[in-house]
Amino acid sequence: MIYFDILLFLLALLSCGAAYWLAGYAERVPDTRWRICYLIPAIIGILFSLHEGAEQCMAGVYLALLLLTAGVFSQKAAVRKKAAAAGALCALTALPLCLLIPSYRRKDYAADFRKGFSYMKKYYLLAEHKQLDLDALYQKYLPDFEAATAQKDAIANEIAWTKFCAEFHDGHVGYSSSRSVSNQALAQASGHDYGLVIVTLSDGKTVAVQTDASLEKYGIRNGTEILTWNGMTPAEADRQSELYAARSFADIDNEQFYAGICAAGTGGETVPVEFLDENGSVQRADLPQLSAPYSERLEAALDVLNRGVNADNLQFTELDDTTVCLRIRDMMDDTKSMESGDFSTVQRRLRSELVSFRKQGIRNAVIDIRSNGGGTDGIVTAVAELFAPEGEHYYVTNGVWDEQNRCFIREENGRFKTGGDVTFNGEQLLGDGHIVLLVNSGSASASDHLCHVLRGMENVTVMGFTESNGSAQGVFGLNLDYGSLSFSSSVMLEKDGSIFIDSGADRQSGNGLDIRVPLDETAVNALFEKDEDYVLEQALDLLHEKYP
Amino acid sequence: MRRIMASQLYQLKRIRAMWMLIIGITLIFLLTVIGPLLNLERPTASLLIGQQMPLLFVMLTIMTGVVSAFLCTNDFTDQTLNHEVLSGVSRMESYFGRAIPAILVSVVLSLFWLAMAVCAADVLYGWGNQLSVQTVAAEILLTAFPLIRLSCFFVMLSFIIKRPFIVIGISCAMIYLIFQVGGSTLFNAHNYYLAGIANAFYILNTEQFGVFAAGSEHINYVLVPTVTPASAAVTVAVSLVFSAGWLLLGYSYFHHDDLK
Repeated sequence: MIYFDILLFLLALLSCGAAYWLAGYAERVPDTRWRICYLIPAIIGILFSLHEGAEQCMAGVYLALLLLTAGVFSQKAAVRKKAAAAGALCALTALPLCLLIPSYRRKDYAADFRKGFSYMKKYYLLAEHKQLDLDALYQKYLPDFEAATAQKDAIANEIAWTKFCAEFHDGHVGYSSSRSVSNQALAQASGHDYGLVIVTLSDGKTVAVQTDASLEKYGIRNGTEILTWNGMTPAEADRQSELYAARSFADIDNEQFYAGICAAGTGGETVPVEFLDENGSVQRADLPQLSAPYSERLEAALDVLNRGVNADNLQFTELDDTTVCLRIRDMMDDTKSMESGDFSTVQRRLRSELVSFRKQGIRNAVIDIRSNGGGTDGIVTAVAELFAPEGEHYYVTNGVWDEQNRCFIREENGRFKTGGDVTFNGEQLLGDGHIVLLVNSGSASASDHLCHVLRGMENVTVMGFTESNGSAQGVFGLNLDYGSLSFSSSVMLEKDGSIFIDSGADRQSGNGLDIRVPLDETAVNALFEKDEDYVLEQALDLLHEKYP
Repeated sequence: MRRIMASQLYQLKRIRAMWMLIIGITLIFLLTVIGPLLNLERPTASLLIGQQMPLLFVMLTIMTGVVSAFLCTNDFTDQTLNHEVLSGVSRMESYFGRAIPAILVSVVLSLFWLAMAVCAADVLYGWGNQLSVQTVAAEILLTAFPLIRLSCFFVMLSFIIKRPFIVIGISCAMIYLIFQVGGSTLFNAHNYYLAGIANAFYILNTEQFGVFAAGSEHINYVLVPTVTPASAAVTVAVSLVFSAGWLLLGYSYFHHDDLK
């Protein structure tokens, strides 16, 4: 039984006892106001039920509280005592019912899924573009939600939603309930920790990173090549992980970068592993399970791979005598700007700082939007205007919303009808200087926009281990009973009416890299041994060599 | 009973605080509707009404408490009720002679205010497409049932407590408690019938979905009413059962009351 039901159950029993005693006392000390006491438990019961919702198995308790109100109607001690006794008996029936009936406090996750799906069916924009069969997905995942409902399993519900959302290969499709349930779901889906994470290098080798000190005795350390995991190649083991199906990448190149990363969470009490030692000979070891879930080690490894410059949002940092870095953690600013959509204040500040840097001899800039999950397009234009070459630049074309039919209008050829173009004017504040834009697969939404508008410019180079996310349509959240669902619902187009950035069935987004930084032994060593920002170092090397 | 009802309504008309409340709530409703005129981007009437009606209902809850408090407790404080009972008027007549006008005034005024807000918004902004006129009309009419339920609850409370300002205080505290204790479960479809306020909120609430464009702050909202034919039927049934229950409890208490 849940805490609130136990409280209400005890309250009902206590109220019945008190009502029984009061019946005798009220006869000895008559006062019509005693009747109010027989009403109070019912009102408290309603308030309790409002907090946690009514429950069929608790009907006995509700009936008990209702029976006590008989004391309001009648002042006879016998009637009040009988009502209190009958109420206590009714309340007691709730205990076995709550403990034994499986449907007690069952949450209908399947109904929540149906509701969320019905909205997606109506308003998700990219089903045709991505060639998704939504009905087939519904049929595939409904049993998972029904099972979660039957088992009253919030974590299974979260995992089912995450897997369902991952099928869209759209960074804007997501579900979240509470942070604690999300963390538990991640921990459950990721598997057990054996002390390492496996990453695939650019040359196809699979190596250990984020290794635990306990693996030293086996000779496994950061950079050790892992040949097999649990009798399989890391790529095969990867697909055994439940987390594999729950991870979503809009762009297939990004998915390939992370191939094998879920593998080291699979296995039993121990897991057999084959690896190459320092001399190049094959070694075998049985790695024991550690106490923490794999998700913790995985998150730590991803943090090392994806971290950006450690500076506040929309702040410049001087990297050396000729280069500054503008860190953009979110495409957002203060509440006032976000509400008004006017980002002129932050733009003025950045412009003034940039002009001042220029006077100090700064020529080049690094714009770091790694792991920037997005925000508003107002920041995109505010930043792009400062760095883009002088003149007008095209940003994006909006779709045309049909208010009557509540949908975006399509042309006869199936493409969305184009509305107004959005443009901006470049100021090229760095003059002949060069800009390196650092991105990764966590650079999504408005970050994707910034990457898209800057990447074609002659003074900009886009760099990273991975491309930006590739999810750029407008997103809106929908509250469901047990969580919230978000998905692409506002169409953003190219001039010709084709979809802006988001990948189609080929899973290639329109945001490639100019320079893909290879994840090789040197990079692994720099990241996991020397704690360096390898991608930033590569960017600086490029600027020093080509744009001194 | 008709005479008692008429005299109660006459009394109510002469309470200055009541008129101030009516003017105050009318102003709040009108300001809510007129307020967006100051914004650069104006909503349509259906959007404004769809978004604001649940909040406007908070005012109606307080007003229901005030009307019941004034109509049902005033004659306790100056002991008019004692004389009325002594003069041979039955307790049932005394009780329902006050309860019925309290319920009627609360419901009629509430429906008037809601309708006024809808009409004013329509005149100022044009109707729009977010909600149909029929949907809004049906929602407002359906709200009458939880309002009756609320009003009956305050009638019962007034006859038990007999002090107008305590009843008014409780109506304000109820709103606070409902929001605090109810929390996120308040609008859960499975719980809405537990309290009259939650039920009215559920009826007037809409699920919101929005689309927008780059380079613009404008959001095109899609509003979907939460109420369904089944939940409307439950609302009517539950409201009537609770109303009868509260009225009976109130009458039972008053019937045996020593009127101290």
